[in-house]
Order: sequence, then structure tokens, then C-alpha cells
Amino acid sequence: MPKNSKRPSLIQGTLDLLILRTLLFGPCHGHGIAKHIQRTSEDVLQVEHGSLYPALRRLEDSGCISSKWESTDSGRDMRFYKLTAKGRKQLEIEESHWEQLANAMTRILRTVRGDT
Amino acid sequence: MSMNKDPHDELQREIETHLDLEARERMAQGMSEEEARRAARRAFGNITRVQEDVRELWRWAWFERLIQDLRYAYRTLRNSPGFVAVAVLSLAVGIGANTAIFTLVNAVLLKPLPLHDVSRLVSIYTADEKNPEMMFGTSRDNYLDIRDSNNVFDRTSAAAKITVNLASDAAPPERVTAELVSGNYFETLGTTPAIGRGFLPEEDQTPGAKLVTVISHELWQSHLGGDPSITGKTILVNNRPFLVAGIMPARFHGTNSLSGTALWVPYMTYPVTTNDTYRNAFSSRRFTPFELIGRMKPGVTREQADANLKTIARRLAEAYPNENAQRTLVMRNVGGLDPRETQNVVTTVGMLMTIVGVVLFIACINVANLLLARMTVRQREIAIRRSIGATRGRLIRQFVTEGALLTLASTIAGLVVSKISLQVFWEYRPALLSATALDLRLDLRVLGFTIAISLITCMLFALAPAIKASRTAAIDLKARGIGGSERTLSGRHLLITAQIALSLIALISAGLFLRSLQRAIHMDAGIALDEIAMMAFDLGAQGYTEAQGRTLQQDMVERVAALNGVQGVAIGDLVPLAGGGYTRSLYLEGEDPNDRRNGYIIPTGVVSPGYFGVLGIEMVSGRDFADSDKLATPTVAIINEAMAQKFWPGENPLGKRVRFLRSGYFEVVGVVKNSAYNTIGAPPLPILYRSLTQVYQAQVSILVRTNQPEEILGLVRNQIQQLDRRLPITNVMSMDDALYESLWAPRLAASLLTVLGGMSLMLAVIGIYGVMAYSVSQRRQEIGLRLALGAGPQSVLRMVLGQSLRLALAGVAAGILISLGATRFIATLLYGSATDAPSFLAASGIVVAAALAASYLPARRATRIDPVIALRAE
Repeated sequence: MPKNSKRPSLIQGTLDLLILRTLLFGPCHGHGIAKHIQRTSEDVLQVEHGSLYPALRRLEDSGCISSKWESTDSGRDMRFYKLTAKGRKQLEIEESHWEQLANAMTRILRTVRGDT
Repeated sequence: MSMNKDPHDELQREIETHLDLEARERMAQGMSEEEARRAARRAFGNITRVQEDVRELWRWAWFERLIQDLRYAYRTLRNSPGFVAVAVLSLAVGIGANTAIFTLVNAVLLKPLPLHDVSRLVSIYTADEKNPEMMFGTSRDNYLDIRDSNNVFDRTSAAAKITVNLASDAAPPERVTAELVSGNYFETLGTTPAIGRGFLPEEDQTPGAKLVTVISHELWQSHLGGDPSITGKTILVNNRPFLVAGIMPARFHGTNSLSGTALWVPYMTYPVTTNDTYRNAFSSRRFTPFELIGRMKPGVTREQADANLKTIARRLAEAYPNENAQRTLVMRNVGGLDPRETQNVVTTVGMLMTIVGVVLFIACINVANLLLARMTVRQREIAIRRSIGATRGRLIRQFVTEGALLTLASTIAGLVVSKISLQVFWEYRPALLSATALDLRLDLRVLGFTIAISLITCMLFALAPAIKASRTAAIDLKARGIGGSERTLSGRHLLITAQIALSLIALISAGLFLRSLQRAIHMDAGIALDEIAMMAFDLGAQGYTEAQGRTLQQDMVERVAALNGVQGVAIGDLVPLAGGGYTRSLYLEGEDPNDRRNGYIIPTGVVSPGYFGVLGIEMVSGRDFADSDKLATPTVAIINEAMAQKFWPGENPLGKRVRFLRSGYFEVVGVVKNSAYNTIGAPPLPILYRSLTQVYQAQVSILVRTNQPEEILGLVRNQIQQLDRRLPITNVMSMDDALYESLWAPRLAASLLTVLGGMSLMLAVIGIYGVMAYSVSQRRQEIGLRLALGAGPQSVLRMVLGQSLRLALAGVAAGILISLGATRFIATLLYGSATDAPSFLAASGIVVAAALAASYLPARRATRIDPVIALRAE
């Protein structure tokens, strides 16, 4: 990651977590997911919209989400993604991992600072 | 509702919709349409790359991951060369040993013979209801009947193994394996000589009329210097000139790859190429030396062929009930093991396969242990990778890839090891295998086997720790943050215990074999083991008549007896530990030899007066043979105690009379102590000796009693060569050599197991050291606290050593229990008990001592922990 960037870019795997989290509120299409992530992180996390789609395919392959083409109110055919039961479970695991990692990283960083 | 099934189009549409929505949003914020579209594209990133990423997911994801895993695995392994070296070395030994043994099995049992359309060929043997576990060959006359009356074989040929004397101007005289074959032998096998011709029809018609031979490529090279003009010339077989008709292609060994046949002769040469026993019995249907080979007619099935043979066997049994009653004919694949030798080979191969199997298993445990130790160290890495989204499957795949990379390196190293160990094994090979008999080159089957066991190996050592590690990592993060884990440690304890147990088993077995060898050497063979020199020769094969032969034997005895340092000389056809003699059916006085229910098969020998004295076999009662036992005087016999015990328990055997099928009665005039027959330590067999002065025997050994058996051998050989320059002299050795050779199986087992036990103990020691060092470092604070509270260094030392002692003792207990069960399987190879206490004690002692030594360094380090620093550490 570039050193001078003030906004951290996304670590792989974290994006999955964010997608799953977004879908917790109900089925959504790709564009909606991107917008939601951007909004809820108050623009701190900058998701390159394109990177969303490989992640969506991956999650669908692993059975965490499912998708369906549906017509929107405006008459557009769009692909809607939905969280599966497995995805729900995965989300819980990923969240707890993330917390542990965050805690651990914090602890390590603190120890390193304390030692020097 | 999907409008389009093509996933590429679907993605394309999805992206277009996305860009459209984004642009509309931006236009709503006041951008111009063109600006908005550009901004939408920017926000989206590189469309082509996205498409490629997705496509890769569909298609190349696994391949991409594999490359990534390989690269990662390579980097990780490169960083720990010590680990890699130990792991590859132990796996290479395991894989190499297995490949080596399989190469042998392949060469002996599996490799198809280099014959034309070999699947149409079958071997035919005789089975006897009375001896269901044995298989017999076929008599010559039965062969002719089978050949002429069957309607399923295009050709049927016969072959019998014999040994002949061979001499030429180019090389010293030799005794070689030959085959006595029917004239159509090469046609049946579908192989023609590379140079010259095979046999002509008229060459197997009249006994002794046509002396002609076809020689093997190997004999041509080794004995005749590869002379291309040899066909049409003669070589001396049994001291008669034989016309060399042809030379077979390289690596042609007929249907039996083990014996390494040097030359083939038509069976009608038997008056010249075989001994008296053969000559007298050749036309008897009781004498069954021939293996038959049939080439099935096109369209004939094996079932039809078998049914036809059964019919012929029934007709033979009706026509010749004395010889063929209760017998039938059975078919076997050609080139398989000679069923007459199966038992030996299966035992040997089974033993070797078991030993190398254990080697590989121990190697796997070693490497699994090493990997587990690394997992402990790599917990941090695993935890982080796990948390940033690597799935368990992905981690397992990663570790298995590392394992596979290790396996690949080990397999290559293993092939090298197998090459070397095959050479070593060849040094140890039993004497019955000839040097050129086996084709031990690497072929696809061996390579396939090696790859298969390598894959299994990889699964064994890499998968289990990988699964464990990936699971531990997940639990670990929740439980204790990033750090060591009791679970992994207990896993390692288990592995180390297993390792100690296995090395103990190997060491105990090695100890058993070593002790058994030691005991064997000091065992009472009933003879003066270290004072006998001997060599064998066959005068009959060399064309001597009985009168000439007796004169020569007498001359030899006199010449050798006159040599310095010779205390006694005798001649006999039966030599303890070196074989010889004949097994014959014996009938007691009053039993009818023509009644097939009578008769006991026992080993018999023909020996000169003084034979027992020279060998150091004590007389128990009666007298030795003497020169006064002549052809004209009553025929006499000497028996051993086992025979007296078997036939006349509690009676005085002296004066009893026995006979063979075609012989007069022999009166028992002496009883001698039992002595070893083929192997030392076997239960004594009943043996009957007859006197050379009354029964002529042309194929004998000369036995010399002397204080320097090794030194005298050359002198004795010289004396014999002065009497006949062309006489091949074989089995030139001291009785000690004979004993040594007869013990090849336990010797091979002892050396393999010692190496294996030592190696696995060494790896167990490394393992113990690792675990203890780790455990001490984990318990720094606790130990520091103990020291601070006044515990002496001695008690800390005891504590750490005690921990490793517990591990060692658990392993030793398991090892002893398993050994007690497992060593029963090797009991038949052992002299003495399979539960020999010293072997068990010594091996256990070594293992425990090694375990304590391995933990001494970590223990001492523990006593030097500075309480202050240790307590301040976190």
C-alpha cells in the first residue's frame, strides 16, 4: 500500500466481509453494494467498484451468497445478490476473526512501541 | 430470470448497468453526461482486468492458486534448509528402500518375459492330492503324451534345470545352470537365436546322438569373449565337445528369470549332460523334472485348455495308476514364480517388504513430527493469514503443497538411494540368485510404484499436521491470542511417543537378529565349524567312469592328506550347511516299496570312511565306515540320533535293516550325533549315511580338517587342478563361510534394522530436544518463579528431565507391547527366543538414555533462567 495514502485500501478478504455485512440488510445489486460500503465507512474505505465483481463471484462460488436477475421499479433488469444461511455463518466467523486480528495487531503494535 | 445463460455476457451486462447507474447518479449531482460517464469508469477501475479476474475464477483459479502455493512453498522451504535436509533425507531413505525392494519384486515376479505373445503361453505342472502344498514337474513320457494328445496347444515343450561343467580355451572351467529342453522349445516361446539357429527336429530323437547347444548372450560375452564366429565351433560341456548352434538375444533367460540359464541342450543329450540318478530315471514316469510350456491355439480360452489338461490327466491316471493316480495337471502363467519355489521367495519378499514398509512409516512419522514442530513456530503466520481471509481449505492446500514439494525432492533422492541400496542388497543376495539373472533397470512399473508410495507418503506426513495446524490456528486466536498452543504440543508429545515406540521396535528387532546371529555362530552345529575347508566337483559330468572316478577321488585324498597342516581328509556328497546329498524314500525291513502308502522321505548322504572324524561328528554307538566295507561285503549304513529316535525309539538301532526303492538292504552299523543340515539351529532331521566304498558317488565335496581353513583352500585346489585341469571346482569355502552364507536372511534383516533403528532414534532425539526446548521456553516465567521462591537448580533439572522421562517411558511401554506382539512374525527367522530379555532391555536402555541426553541441554538452560528477567518479560 502506498505510504502517503491517508485512506487505507482494502486488504483482500476484508472486502468479502464488507459485502456479506452489506447483504445482511437485504438483497442488493452490485452498484448498491458499492454505494453502501462507501456511505457506511464515511468514504474512508475506497472500494474500486470493479473489484466488487470478482469478489461477488467468489462468494457465490463458495455458497455464501446467491444471485437472481430481477426487474427493478424503474424497469431495469438487474442481478440481485442475497445472503445465504452459510453466508450468515461465515459472516459471524469473519467478524470475530477480524476483531481478534484487530486486537492482536493493536497489541503487537503497542508492544513494539513499548519495547523501544 | 436469467435472460442469457452465458456467464461472460451476464457479467458484461451487469457491468454496463453498474456504469449506467453510477453515471446517472453523478449527472444528478450536476455533472455533464460525458463527465459523469468518465467518472463512473474511473470509479469502477479497469474493466478488462475485472473481467479477466472473474474469468480466472471460473477457469484458471485452481491453476493460479497452485502456482502461487508452489512459489510460496518454495520460499518457505528455502528459508529452512536444515528442516528440508532432515525431512528429505529420511523420506528418501524410506522411498528408496521401498523402490529398491519393489524393483526386485518387479524383476522377479511382474516383468513380462521378453517372449512373443506371452499371454498365450502357459506353464503346466503336476499337482498331487497327497501333497496339496507342493507342485511337481512332469515326467518325460507324460510330456510326450500331453504333447500328442491335447487339442488346445499349438506347441508344447518341456524344460528341466540341470547343472553342467563348462570348459573352453577362453576361460577357466565353470559350473553353470543349463536347461534340458525339448527340440521345439524356442519355437514354443516364439524366440529365435540372435545368431545362428535353434534346435533341429532330429536333435531330440536319439539319446546321446547329437551333442549340440544354444548359449545365452551373457555366457557368450563372459565365457567366450563375444567371439562372433563361435557358432559352428564346439565348447566342452561335461568334457564333451558340443556344437554351438546359436546364441540367444541379450536378456533371454527362458521362462525362469531367477536361475540365469547359461545354455540350452536338447533333452536327448541327457546321457552326457545329467548324472546317474537322472540317467536311470529318465524314462520313468515317476521322475518329474520337466516344466511344460504350452502355447494356446488362437481362439482357445484358458478354461478350455484347463479342461483339456484335466481330461488328459484323468486318462494318464487310468493308464498308469502307479505313477499318476491322484494326480492332475494345473496351469500357471508363464514366467510367474516357479510354484516349486514359491514358498521361499514369498517368505523372503514378504519379510523385505515388511521391513522397508516400517522404514517408510517411521520416516513419515519423523517428517510429520518435524512439520508439526514448524507449525508451532508458524502459528503467528497461520493466524494472520487465516484472519485476512485465507480459508481452512486454502491453508491445508498450502501445507500439502509444501509437503508435495518435499515429497518431490525426496522421490528424486529416493530413486538415487534405491539405486545404491540395490547394489548393497545384491551383495547380500542369497547364493541361489545368479548375478545376471535379474533385470534391475528402472521401468515404468517401478516408477509408477515409487510415485504411488510417494503420494501416499505425502498424504501421511503432510495432511494430518496440516489439518491440525489449520484447526489449531482458528481455535487458538479465540482462546489465547497469538502464541503457543497446548493442543499442538500434546500432538507433538503423541508423535514423539510414537516415534520412540517405533525406534524401540526397530532396535529390539535389530537386537533380536544380532543376538540370534551371535547365538547362531556359537550354536552347536554338531561339527568343528572353524576347522573345515571344502570344495565341490562333479566327476560324472566330466565323463569319468566309476572306476576312473574312484581312482581320482583316492588320489585326491592322498595328495591333500600329504599337505602341511592338514589333519584329516574325507569325501562326501552331503555337507552340513552347504547342502548336497539326496532325499530318498526309505523303507523299513518288511515294508513293500511298491505300496505307495509306505516310505519316508529323508535326506541321505554317501560318505567316505573318516568323514565323521574330519567334520567332528561324534559316534554314539557302533562303528565308522571302513575300507573293509567293500562292494562284496554286506551293505552298511550309519544313522544319526534323530533317525534312531524316529524309527526305533527305545530300541537298539544297530543291526536294523532298511532299503530304498531300487536297492538291497543296508544294515545299520553305527549311530552318530545330530549335526546341522541346511541351516543351523533347525530341528535335527533324520539322516542316513551310506559308505562311499560301497555306493559310488561322482558329485562330491572334499572336506579338509585343518587349523587354517582359509589358507589351505588354495593349496587343495592346486592339487585337484594338477589331477584334472578341466574340472570345474565349486563352493570353495571354509565351513565358517558356509555358515555365514546360510545366515544371509537374518544378517540382512539385522543390518537393515540397525540402520533403521539408529536413524529413527536419532530423529526421535531431535524431536525430544525440540519439544523440551520449546516447553522450557514456554515455562520460563513459571520456572523463574520457582527459582525465585527458592527451588534449587537440581529440582528444576529433575522437573524437566522427569517430563522427558515420562515421554520416553510412555514410548518404551508402547514399543515393548507392540514388539511382543510383532516379533512373533519374525520368530521363524530367529535362533533363540523372540522375547529375548537382553535385546528388549538393551534397546529400552538405549532409547531412555537418548531421551534423557536430548533433554539435558534444555534442562540445564532452565536452571540458568534469571528469575528477575523471566518475571519481567511480559
